[in-house]
Amino acid sequence: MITLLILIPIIGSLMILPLQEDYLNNKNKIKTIAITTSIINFIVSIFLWLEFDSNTNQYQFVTEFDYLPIGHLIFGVDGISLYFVLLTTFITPVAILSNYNNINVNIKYFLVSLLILESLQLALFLILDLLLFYVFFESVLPLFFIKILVYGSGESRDRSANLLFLYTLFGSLFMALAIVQLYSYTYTTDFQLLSLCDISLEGQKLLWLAFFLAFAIKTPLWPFTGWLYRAHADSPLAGSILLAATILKFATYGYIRILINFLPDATNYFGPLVQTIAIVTLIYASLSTIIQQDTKTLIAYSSIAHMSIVILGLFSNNIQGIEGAILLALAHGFVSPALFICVGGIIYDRTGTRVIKYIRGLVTYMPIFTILFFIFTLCNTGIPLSLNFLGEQLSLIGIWEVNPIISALGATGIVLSACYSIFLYNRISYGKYSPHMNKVVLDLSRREFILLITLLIPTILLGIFPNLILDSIHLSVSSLLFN
Amino acid sequence: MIFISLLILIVAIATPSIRINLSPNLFIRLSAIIFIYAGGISFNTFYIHSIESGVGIYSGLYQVTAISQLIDMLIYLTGSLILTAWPIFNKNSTLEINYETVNKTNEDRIMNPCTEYSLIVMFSTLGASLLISSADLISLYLSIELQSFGVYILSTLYRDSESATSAGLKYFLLGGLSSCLILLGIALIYSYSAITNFESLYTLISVLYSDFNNLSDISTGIVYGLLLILIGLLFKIAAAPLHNWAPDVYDNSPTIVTIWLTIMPKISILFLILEIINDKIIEIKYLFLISALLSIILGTIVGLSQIKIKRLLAYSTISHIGFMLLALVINTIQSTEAFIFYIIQYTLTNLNTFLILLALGYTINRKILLKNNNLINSDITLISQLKGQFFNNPLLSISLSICLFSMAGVPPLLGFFSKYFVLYSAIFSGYYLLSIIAILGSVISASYYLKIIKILYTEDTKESNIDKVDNVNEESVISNLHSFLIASLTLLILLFLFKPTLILNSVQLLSLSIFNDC
Repeated sequence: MITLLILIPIIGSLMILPLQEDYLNNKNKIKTIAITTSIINFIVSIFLWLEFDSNTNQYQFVTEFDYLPIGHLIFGVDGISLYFVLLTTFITPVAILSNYNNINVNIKYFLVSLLILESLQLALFLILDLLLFYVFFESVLPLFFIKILVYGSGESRDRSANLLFLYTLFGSLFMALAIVQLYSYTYTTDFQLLSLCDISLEGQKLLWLAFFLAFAIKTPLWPFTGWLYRAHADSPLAGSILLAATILKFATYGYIRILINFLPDATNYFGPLVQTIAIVTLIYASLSTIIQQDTKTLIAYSSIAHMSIVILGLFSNNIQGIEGAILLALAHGFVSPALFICVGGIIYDRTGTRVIKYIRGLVTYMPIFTILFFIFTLCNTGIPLSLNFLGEQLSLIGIWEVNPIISALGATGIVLSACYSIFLYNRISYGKYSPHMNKVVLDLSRREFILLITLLIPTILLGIFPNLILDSIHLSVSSLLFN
Repeated sequence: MIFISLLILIVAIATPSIRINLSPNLFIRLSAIIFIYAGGISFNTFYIHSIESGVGIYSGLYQVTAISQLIDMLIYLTGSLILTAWPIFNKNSTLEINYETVNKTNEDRIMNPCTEYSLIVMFSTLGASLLISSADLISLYLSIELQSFGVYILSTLYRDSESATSAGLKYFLLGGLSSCLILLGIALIYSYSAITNFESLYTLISVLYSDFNNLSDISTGIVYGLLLILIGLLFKIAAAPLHNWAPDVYDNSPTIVTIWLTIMPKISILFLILEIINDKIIEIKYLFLISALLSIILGTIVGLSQIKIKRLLAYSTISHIGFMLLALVINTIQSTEAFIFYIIQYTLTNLNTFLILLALGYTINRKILLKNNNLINSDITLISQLKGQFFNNPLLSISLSICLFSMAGVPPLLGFFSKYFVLYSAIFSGYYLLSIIAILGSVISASYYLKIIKILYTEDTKESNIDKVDNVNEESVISNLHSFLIASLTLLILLFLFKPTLILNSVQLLSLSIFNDC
């Protein structure tokens, strides 16, 4: 099952490669193949979910390829990684569909790289070996770098692609050193064996810092936020969607899987540090969100703020906090792409601008869009009945048990997020119709409507029945707690 | 067995003088085949059991060991691969030579070197393979000179080009200086100990250093001699404090020669150092540590400001040398393994990068190439010439970016694993500071690789349209062999992850065999 999951996108991209994109017919064929492959993969992952046994916290569907001498290739899924896998397979068709019409040159390589990215991301969430985890963590970078360079829209995309690459490479090389050091302590990089190993607190501290640096850059936490909003602003829409939905989740997954799981003592020791950094990030990101002029940058900053609440939840060391963090991470994976589609796709395609000043009064011509945009804006601020609400609430409850002050400070994030989300919505939708835009803009096309509805359904559905998710992660999460 | 390969080489060298009218194309293919054959023979020797511990030949002047055989094979194969980059020129130039042999025009003189190229290459390779198996200071010096002279001539091969001549002269003068240093070192050692043989030198050193309180004059003489020799060798591989000649020479000589310069002398000399290096002498260790550190730092930082692609690659070479020296210093089984692996990786990646650059040069400057048959003009010099190549030659530029990512050490590629092994052995032996500096260095160097990649992928709207028209009209100028080579090397770099056993196992066996000897 897992092998299938990873191989399907690769097979799809191999099918696309020999086709020439000279003719319109072939172009359509390429697109159809890409989207079909990703949907098939999503269906396969649904079967994975159905067959998942939530009464055990062991790794399931373990598939091992033992002919590799460098850290063996072993895949498996447990309650923590399951939903990240589902999120990846869910978001890839959305990403492919989002740039369905507006990329015309070199679409073949664009789609191939998207499909390969899907395989790499899945491999990252499924791998049960630390060294290969690192390999997949990094291997996303070059593809993403090229994607921003070639298909990006911004003027300064060189700079943002460079920053993306160098920031992440810098952090993750320290992770590489830490993996080497960990190996010298334990002589294994296998997840199952590592969780049985016991490392002294002194040894854990250094390792923890190195891993934390890598993940903090990827999250991103406060001193390292510089690359994210640039990358978002300049990457193509599909890139932004993937970046927000799954690539930022690498860090979330890394925190749970490596820091909390393998280095529990150091995690406990450094807890206050992480909470402080997360609070600083939250308030800093929220305040800088309010002053943004570019819509995509604004949403990028808001996702930094949400990720810092996820971090607060993760490091609360109780079941509510960690589950809330996972829920919020998922919710962010649905809502943030939807907002990117709204501003970076729908509005940008119609008006050719992303600057808030120039966009006004969309409600006159685009009522359906405005309604959907309103719902997503509310979800982003964490309104009850949405998955975001549950996630934020549980995370804050979790951190309250550790430190009420931190929790109270964290709660300001909700107010601030209401400020900037409503601000954005208000400016864009209402007022006199902007003279800078075309005379008439059309409302949502069928493709865009389907895109937004697909993202809306899970947000609301899981917001009402969170037990669909929570049931299968209870056991895995409770085994993470440190006492 | 190695005699036979040598014999074949010498015979091959003799042939050009007999039949001068033979097409250069044929010579190059012939010598490539000879290289492959010699490689096969040296691989065959690998299976002879008595050779494992080393067999002295030529009355102990040379010693054939398992490792020297395998590296011989590596050298021969790389040599044959480099030679294959040539045929495309000869397709054009052969015609002219055949028809115009009588009255040699000015243009012909540019192509003429093609005939001599293979000959000189063979001399230099002979030197390299002798160098690896040399077991005596005198044979060491002789084979180093044999190798170096070949390389000096190579870089001046294009007499009509001013830059190539100046590069060759610079290379010759500075290389001569380093040879002097090596000779001085040898003389020092000989005058203090009256020994030229490696084995007896090892024995002498271990006897002298068994008692630290009682270090005599002899030991200081030997230490200084060895230091001089090693400095000379570091000079030849362009390690950091002595690197100044490298960027100039690499940049000014034509790309085909640059491939040779960046790969062949380095492999052989680095392996020589591997055999010479000795744990007991602390000064040598410091020399190497400082050199490794400086190479990494200089190679990465100075490379940032380069605008010429071959200069940039020269600096990247320097930082790679730093990594290899770091692995050499540590001197454990793991680090030797890492060293050998790094060198193989370096050879493959560098070879592939330059082959792709050549191919890109052919395609970009196609018109110049067809009109003048001028080799030098078809080279790419500036990075900005690569602008927007993704849109004209997508596959070539994808493979170039794979190579560069691999050099930068991005994980699933070959280059990452080599850096990983070096760091791994460094941390195991407690060199924390150095490994952190190495990591920072590789992040910084990543930024200049990214610079190239970025230029590859940024569209240049004005020129790309013109080039597209060209593409339709003209046939591909890259020969089949060349493109096949690029494809297979790129796939090797990319898919190493899935079948690493071949390289890793042989590397491990080699490093074990070294430590069994000691």
